[in-house]
Amino acid sequence: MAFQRDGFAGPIDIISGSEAELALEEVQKELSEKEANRFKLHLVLPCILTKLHIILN
Amino acid sequence: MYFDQIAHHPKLIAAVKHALDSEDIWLWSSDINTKKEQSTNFFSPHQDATYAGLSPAAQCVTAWVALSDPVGENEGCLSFYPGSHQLGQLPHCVDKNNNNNNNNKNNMLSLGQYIDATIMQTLKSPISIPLRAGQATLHSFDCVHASGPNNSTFPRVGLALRYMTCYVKQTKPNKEMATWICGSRYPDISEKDNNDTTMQERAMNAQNEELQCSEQLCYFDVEPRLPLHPNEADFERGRRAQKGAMEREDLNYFATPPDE
Repeated sequence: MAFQRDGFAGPIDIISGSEAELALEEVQKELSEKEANRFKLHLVLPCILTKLHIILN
Repeated sequence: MYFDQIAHHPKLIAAVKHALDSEDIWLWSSDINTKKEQSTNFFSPHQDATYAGLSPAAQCVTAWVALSDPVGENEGCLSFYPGSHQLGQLPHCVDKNNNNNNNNKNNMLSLGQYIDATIMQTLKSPISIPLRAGQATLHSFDCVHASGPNNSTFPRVGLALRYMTCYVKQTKPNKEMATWICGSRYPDISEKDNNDTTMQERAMNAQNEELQCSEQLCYFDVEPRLPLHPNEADFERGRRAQKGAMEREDLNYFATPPDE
């Protein structure tokens, strides 16, 4: 397998272009000046946290 | 399409399981990776294993999912050095303020780290992998990779997801949090010791912080999963858990680098 031989693999089709576009819309709400956003929880999404922040404050 | 769905996507997980040759997959960390339009910023050649503290690195893999379209060489797609994962951990120079080397001024890596030119000269030529939105690459934590500037007129955006098998340990002092993806084993906990409930149930139970603390896992807490219909208290609990987890991860990541 290419991954074992080379240490990488791709491109691999994961989601459709339209699904990626939807995810990108969510991302664009979250982009910071730092150009990077790290997070841990994958159900508590950054976009949901933002909405929650609005609700709670 | 939320990130949680992408992180658990069957096609992605099948590729990760195949790459790691394991049925027990956990997600260590994630980030949204962006290069603004007409940006001269770049990621210098590096190995993800260098500061992560995860061992064995060969059982960790990064998936990079393109969200913007396209992510080609003009947009600064990832390029990989074939076979470099077989060299083990290579020494990285640290240039946190990016002032040791003019060529490193726009390096986006957190510590400005880079691999010395004398080592780079020994590697095979890099291979760029252009992506369309929704496509992904996988690379080993030991694979040297890089990405160039974004010369296009739109932001280059991707989602980096870092997966590991249940046999991976965190070698740095602070206990971190990981997300269960599939399989029946906790990291560093034998199946015999945790076969009383399913992993899904245990992950759900971990939403209670007291329960989570009582798990006494050696290297990782289990990421709390929210109930199907979360209320504001659930969200707040999740936000606290996330904040604490990221603080611990930062403490580990920015601890004394191995080459200092």
